[in-house]
Order: sequence, then structure tokens, then C-alpha cells
Amino acid sequence: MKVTRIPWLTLLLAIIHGASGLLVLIIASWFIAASAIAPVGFNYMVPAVVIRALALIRIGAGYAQMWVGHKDMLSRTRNWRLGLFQQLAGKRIEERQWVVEALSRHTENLASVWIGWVTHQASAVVMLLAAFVAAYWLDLPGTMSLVALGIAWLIIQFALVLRGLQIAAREIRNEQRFRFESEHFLDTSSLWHLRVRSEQGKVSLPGAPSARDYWQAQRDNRRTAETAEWLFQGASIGLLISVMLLASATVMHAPLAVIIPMLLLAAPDWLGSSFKAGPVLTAYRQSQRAMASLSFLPVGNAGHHAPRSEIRVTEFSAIEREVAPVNFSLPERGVVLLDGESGCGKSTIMQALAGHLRYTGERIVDGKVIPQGLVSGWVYVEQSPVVLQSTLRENLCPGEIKAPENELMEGLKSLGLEGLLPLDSWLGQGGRQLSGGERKRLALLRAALCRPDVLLVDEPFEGLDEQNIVRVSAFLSRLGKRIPVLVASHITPAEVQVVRAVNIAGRGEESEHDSWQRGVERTERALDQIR
Amino acid sequence: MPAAVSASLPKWFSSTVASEGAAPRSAFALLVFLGVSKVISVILAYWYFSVMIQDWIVNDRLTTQAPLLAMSVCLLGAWLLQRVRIHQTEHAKASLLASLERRLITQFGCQQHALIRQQSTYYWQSLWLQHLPAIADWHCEYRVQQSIAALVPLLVLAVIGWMNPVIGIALLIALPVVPLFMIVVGKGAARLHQRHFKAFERLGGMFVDRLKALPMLATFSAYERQKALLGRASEQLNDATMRVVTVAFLSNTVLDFFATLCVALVAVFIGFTLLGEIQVGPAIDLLTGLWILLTVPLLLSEMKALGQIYHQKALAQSACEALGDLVSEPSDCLSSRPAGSFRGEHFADFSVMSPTLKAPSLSVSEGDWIRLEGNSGAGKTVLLEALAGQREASHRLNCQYVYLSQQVALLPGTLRDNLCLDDHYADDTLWQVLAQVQLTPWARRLKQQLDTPFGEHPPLSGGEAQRLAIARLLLRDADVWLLDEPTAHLPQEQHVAIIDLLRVCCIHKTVIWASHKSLPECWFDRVWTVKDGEVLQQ
Repeated sequence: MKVTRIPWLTLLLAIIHGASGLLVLIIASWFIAASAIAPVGFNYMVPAVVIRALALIRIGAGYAQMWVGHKDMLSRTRNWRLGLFQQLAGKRIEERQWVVEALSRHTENLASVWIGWVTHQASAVVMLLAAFVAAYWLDLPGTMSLVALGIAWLIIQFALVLRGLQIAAREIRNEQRFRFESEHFLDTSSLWHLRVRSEQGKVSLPGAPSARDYWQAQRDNRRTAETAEWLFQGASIGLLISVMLLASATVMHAPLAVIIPMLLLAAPDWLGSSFKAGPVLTAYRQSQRAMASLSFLPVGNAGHHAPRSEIRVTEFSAIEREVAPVNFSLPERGVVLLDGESGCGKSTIMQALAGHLRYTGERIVDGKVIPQGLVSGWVYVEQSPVVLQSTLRENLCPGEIKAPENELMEGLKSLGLEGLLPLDSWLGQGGRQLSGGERKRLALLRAALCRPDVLLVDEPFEGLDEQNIVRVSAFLSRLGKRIPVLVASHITPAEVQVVRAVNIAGRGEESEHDSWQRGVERTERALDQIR
Repeated sequence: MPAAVSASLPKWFSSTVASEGAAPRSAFALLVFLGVSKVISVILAYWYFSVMIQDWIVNDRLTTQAPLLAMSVCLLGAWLLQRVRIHQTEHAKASLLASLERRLITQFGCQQHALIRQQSTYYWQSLWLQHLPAIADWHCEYRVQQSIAALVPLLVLAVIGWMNPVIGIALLIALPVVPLFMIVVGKGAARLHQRHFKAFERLGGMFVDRLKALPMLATFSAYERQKALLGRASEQLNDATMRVVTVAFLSNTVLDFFATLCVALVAVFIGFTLLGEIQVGPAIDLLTGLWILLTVPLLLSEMKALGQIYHQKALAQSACEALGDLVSEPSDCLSSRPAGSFRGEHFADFSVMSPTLKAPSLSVSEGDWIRLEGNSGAGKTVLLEALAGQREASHRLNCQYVYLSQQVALLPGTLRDNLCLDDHYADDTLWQVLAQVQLTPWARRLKQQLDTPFGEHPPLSGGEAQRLAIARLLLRDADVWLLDEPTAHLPQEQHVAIIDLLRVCCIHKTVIWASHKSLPECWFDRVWTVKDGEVLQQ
């Protein structure tokens, strides 16, 4: 099923549900009115049966509509999500975490517009039209008031939609502002002890953001819908009063005359939900915009390059990072240490080397320059690696390459991860939460199991206890016997057999200074020229 | 970690949130009053409406002024009451929300980094943006509607019973069946939800989980496989959801069933009575008949309205679990002693609640240099946070302190903003501390000097950032310096340079210094060792 398919059944059921409820009320009131002045021989059985039948139809249609509509909504959500995922093949999302987290909500909003908004409007329109046609056909007194009611409905609905869209834009702006402000605020919580104030026992924290504006926009959104509903109520009350006031003699002794006043009196009930649904459309528009403005970055594929003699990088630097370019090389096997203090760009160099980030300079394998993009077989193990919400087995072999089970068990044992067994145990939400050290070791094993050509490991020892440092060191040294392993770390355990050390720290800090200095000088020169 | 709350939502609310007039009863009572009054004026309007219809159909005369006027007044009254209720609800929500936000910030101010570092920034943002309004919505809408939905049926039953005891008694017998069915259905749905709980928990977050793992999936060529898995997981999740909602929707249907059937049966009963086919109870004319027919739906309409906002309860429940004590009014949590007044402390039977950490005896004298030892994860940071008063513990150092951690927090503002934070210092003072931490050459090179903005990527190396952090602390004239592995991320030469700097800067201060890396033993007066949840003093 495509996300654009119209859910006819849901629409039909919603209309039946609404219309049958309205009919019960009308026929029932007419029936009472007719019974009060019934002539002899009045056939009362038929309306009595019709009333009960309509009641049952309404109940059935109500349940079926909810069920079918919900099922449709769920499968739409699924399709939106899979569609989005499909788009993301070979790309990375260049957004902050909250933008990614919000995608779950956006797909739901997109999927629920049918059951949440369209069905309500469709059944309102159909009921209004049907009421008018029936009244016209029966030539009821006050039929024209239904036309006025329809016009009022249209105008108010139109205004609601317009206003809702304006508020949607404001809501997005305010949310973004709060997210940015609060991100900086929360990320610097280690400074709060210098900022917190206490006056007469009242604690305050200067610089704290407030979500007030966002909540205000949210409330405005709902209030607009409530106001629309309220205005419509007012319109129907006004019409009711005028119909009662202007009634001519035709209403006397005519049970059918009760229908129009009843319709007007009950109008807020049978049309109210079409206004209440307003915020659903707003959320839909909001999500549509958010999805459209999502920015992806294609990762690209550089092919497969297993080094036979060496890998060399020249004047190498990740794009958009203000770090001086570096030159170094990796032998065809052995552990190479990438040293340097935090903040000097070790992680970005490794990510660029693996092809996750775009770079300037060159990557040269066995004397041949390779293009930008991911090199298959070159695996980068992050500082805080991703653990999939899945089984242990799936986490160890997430791709097509399946290592034999005994290899999995051996690897787990050599890294001290037996505690995670059995292989089918669930990791992440709804299962076992891993510590930072466990994540690191799991990711290292995952990388080793896919038989990489080059391994790039970011801070593998940080946060590990002595015993695990020894385990990881032995594991890396063993891998180093086969392939080049680049390890970024500011500590070097004695157990790691390092064949080469690349220090970008001394150079890094200096060259960072140099580049900063160069930048300053460049600006000065430019200013001089202007002068 | 916010404490897990087992108490029920209303109990939690009255003990945690409602303290100190944050949620006044009068505002709540007003909202309920507005809701009930609206229903009363609608019932009256129905009466005058029926009077007019009676005139038209039975008495064969056009409407007289009096009932039309009365009906108009009642309907307009109900209409205005509705408006006032919308307005008041919003007002109550905004004021409750403002005090919830203020309390959350106050709690942040008390528990600070010790609290924030336990969860991701995203977690706190969600707590703030979604959980706080969930509480306000629940209190100002759901609970109000709950009270109205309890009062209105009694009221409606009373007037119908007074008008026609037969119908009244029939409804009285039928009515309790509705909540009974709803409870049965609710329990059934909850049981089904429980049965599929694992599936919801595991598969629910899978989409976002895989989105976050995109670079990893690319590395391992796992994209296709994970896409297929994601498809299957959604399918399973949807199936489980459908099973639960199949039952949960019955709750709505039960309401609908009774509401519709009541109208249908009452209509038939009244019609047959008017026709003379049935003769039970008092005589009915069109006036009373039509009025009863119009009024019967009001029995359940407020309950239906409650059903429409039922999700607010579930949202509030999860907000309550996440917020715990974070929205209670905190007791005074900051030191009241002015700087320069610290003369040392002695703690007997010191203990931290969570995670458990005990010390039979700890003493700090003025000017002491204390070294804090222990494996990573033993609880050195926890001890420092407890001493600072950021963590619940039996004692804390009641003094002005500064805290230096391994990760330097930098604001995106200017160098001056980063040094001053919310205070004001003269330029001379700022240059003086920069000189003290040997950052003068670096700062002089900056294009706008003190007013150079840092932005997202500040022009600092790790060592320079730590020096800047020390300069920031030097500006505050604190008695005690708590140092939490300030050199952990730095290479050896930087480590040596920074610790020498700290030695020079803090020689006359009281210092408690946690470090993995080697520090000269002669600097320290005491050593505290953290091991197996215990702090030993040597």
C-alpha cells in the first residue's frame, strides 16, 4: 500500500457513523412529535424499528471505523518510515539528535491525518449536504437556515485552517529556539555551580531558557480550534433563535417541522468534531515541513581497497574542521598509534580516513590515489559505539557476512563479554543496557568479525578497568598481525605491540596555532590593503 | 536519577506538585463549576425549546415571546460559560506550567551536573518540553472533566427521575453498567498490553535506533538486511497494537452503545406512551417527552468527552514516573556561608544514598590539600558531588566551592562571557587571571581579544581549554577547590604543566583532588581512598 492511497472504507464508515447518529435523533424527535398528535391508524412500528436499527448501525459503524482507520494509520506509519529509510540508503543525516528522534513522531503525524482530520471533514460535509437535500426534498420550514449553517461552517473551517498553519510555523520556530538554547544550557551544567543564585531561600539559575513561548504556541493552536468550535456553536444558536422567531403558520400541527430546529440545536454535536480535529492538520503540516527540510549528506562509495604495502595520507584534513592537515602512513600490518590530546582532531581524521567525512588531501593505497567515500572493508570503531536495539547475534553480525558461531563465542570470551550470552539475548531498550566499556568491546568484536582490511579504533581504552585494558590490548595486537590497525589513544598500555606512533599532538597543537595565526595574519593583511 | 514513583498519580500530584499553592483548589473548583453550570443551562434551554415545539405541534399556535426569550438566554448563557471555561482552563494551565518550570530549574540549580550528566541532553529536553505540559493538561483538563463526568449524570438522573420516575429508575439501573463495562474492557486491554509489552518496548524505538546507526550500517553493508528487519518489526508491532486496540476500542463502543440505545429506547418508550400503547408511570405529553429525549444524551456526553482526553492520563503517568521529585519545592540547597569563612569540617558517619558510599570519618581542615584515590567507577566523582551538595548525602561542605572537571564546558558566547558568566569583572582583572594561567599570548592573538566569539568550534586546544577553565575559577573567590581528574584527557607534558599551574594557583586554598595520573605526594596533607563503597582517610 502506498502512503497516498485514499482509505475509502474508513471514510465510508465514518460517514455512516455520523449520519446514523444524526438520523436517530431526528427520526426519534419526529416520531415523538408525530405520536403526540397521531391520527388513528398511525403506523408506529416502522419508525420504532428504524430507530433501533439505526442505533445498531451507528454502534457497529463506530467500532468498525475506529478499527479500520487505526489499522490503516498503522500501516501508513510503517510505509512512511520504510520509505524514509529507503531514501537514506548511502546517506547520513546531518542533524542534531532531537531532529532524528522527532522523525518517529513526524511519520505518525503524517499517517494519522486521514483518521484524525480528513474523515471528520468528509463526514461533516456529507451530513451537511444530506441534511440540506432531505430538507429541500421534504420542503421543511426553515430549510434555508441549513444553507446559512453550511456557509458558517465553511467560513469558520477555512479561517481555522489558515490560522492553524500560521501557528504551526510559530510552534516550529519556538521549539527550535528552545532546543538550541537548552542544548547549550544543559551541556554546560558543570558551570551551574558558578551561576546558581539564592535570594531569601529562592534558588535561581541565570541563563536558564524557558519553554514558555513554545507552550504558548501549542496552547494557541488548541485554543484556535476551540474558538472555531465555539463560534460555530454561536452561529447555530443564532440560526435556531431566528428559525423559531420567524416560524410561519406552516409549522402548526406538522411533526416534520420539528426536524430543522432539532438539526440546529444539535449542530455543535454532529459538526463539532470537524473543528476539534484542527490541531491534527496543523501537526501534519508541521511534520511535512520538517521532513522536507531534513538534510542528508551522501556518503559515497570508494570501492574496495585492501592495502598490500601501505596506506598513506598527504595534507589530509576533514572538511570544515579548523585543524591543520597531517601526513602519515600505515604499514600493511601492525598496530599504529595515533597520539594527541583531546580536541586536536584525532576522531575526525579517522572518520575522514574511513570515508565517513569528506576531506581535503589524498588517501593513497599502494601508491594509488583513491576517491572520496566509504572504502568497504575499512572499519572505523567510534569512541562511543552504536549498539543496535536487537539481539547480541544481530549486533555482532549486522550485515550479510555471518561469522561462524564458534568464532563469535571465542571473540566474546577473549574480550570478557561472556556475561552478555546467550546470543539471542536482547540488547538496548527492552533488554540489557550496556556500559560504555561493554559497548567499546562489543563494537571492536563486531569490527573484527566482518573480516576488515583496515581497522581504525577511537580511544579503545578509555573507561576500561585494568583487566579489560589487557584484553583489548591483546585483541588489537592479534588483529595487528594480519591487518593495519590505527589506534587513537592518549594512553598506551604496555601490552599493545605498537609498530609505529604518529603524533599529531605536538604538531597538532602547534600547527593548529599556526593555522589560527595564519588566519589572523591573513585578515590583518586584507585589512591593510583596504586601508 | 529521578526516584521511581510507585504512588498513584493523584497522590504524587498532591504531595509533590500541589504544595505551596502551585495548584490552587479554588481554580479547580471554578473549572468544575463552569462545566456543570453549562450543562444546567443547556437542560433549561431544552425545556423552553420543548415548550415551543409543544406549542407548534400540539397547541397549534406560534411561539410566544416568553419561552423564546428564556431559551435564547439559556443557550447564550451556556455559550458564554463555555468561553469562560476555555479561558480559565488556559489560564490555570499556564500558571501551573510556569511554576512547574520554575521548580524544575530550581532543582537543576540544586542538583546541577550530578543530575544532568546521568542522562542525555535530549532526555532533559523531552522532560522539559513534553512531561511538564502533560502534568498541566492532566490536572487542568482531565481531572476537571473527570469531576464533571461524575457530577453531571447524577444531576441529569435527578431531574429526569423527578419528571418521570419510570424512565429515571430504568436509567438508574442501566447507568452503572457503563462504568462497569468500561472497567472490564480497560482491564482486558491492560492485560493484553502487558502481554505484548516486550514487543512494544523492543520494537517501538527501532526506527529511530536504526536511523541513528546509519553510518555503522553503511560500514558493515548492513543496510538492506536492517531494512528488511525494520519492515518485519513494524509489522509485528502493528499486529500487537491492533490486538490491544481491538479490545481498547470496545470501551468507546460501550459508551456509544448505551448513549445511542438510551436515546432509541427512550424515544420508543415515549412515543408508545404518547400513543397510549404503554401506560406505565406518569402521563407524558410532547413537552416532557421531547425534553427527556434531548436530555438523556447528556447522561453520557461528559463521559464521552472524558474518553476523548483519556490519553492525557497515560501521558501524565509517564511524566510522573520521569519527573519524580524534580518538581517538588526544594529545601534550601545552597550554602549560606560567605566566601572566606570556611574553617574546616569533620563528618562522622558520612553517607551518600545513591549509589551507596559510606565513610566512618572524614575531616577537612582549612588549607588542606587532600588527594582522592580509587579505581575508575569506584565513586570519586560521586563523593565530590556529595561534598558539593549536588547529591543527596548525610553531610556537605557548607562553603563556597568551585569544581573543575575533565570536560571543559564552553559557552558559544565571547571569551569574556566564558570568563564572567553572569557576573561582571573589570578588563584588568580578566587579563590578570589570563596571565596567571599563561593564556595571555593566546588571548592577545585573538582578533577581538576578550570579545572574540567562540561559536560551536572554539579556537582552543584541550590544554588551553583547561587553562581557561582554571582562569574562570580563579575569578571566583572560593574557599574550596574540588578537582575531578582535570588532566585525564591530556598528554603527559600538558598534565605536568596543568598540575603545576594548579599548585601555584591554589596553594592557599583547600583542595580535594581526584586523579588517576601521578601527582607529587609531598603536595598533599591527606589521602582519601574510595574502594568498595567506602571512603578511608589516611
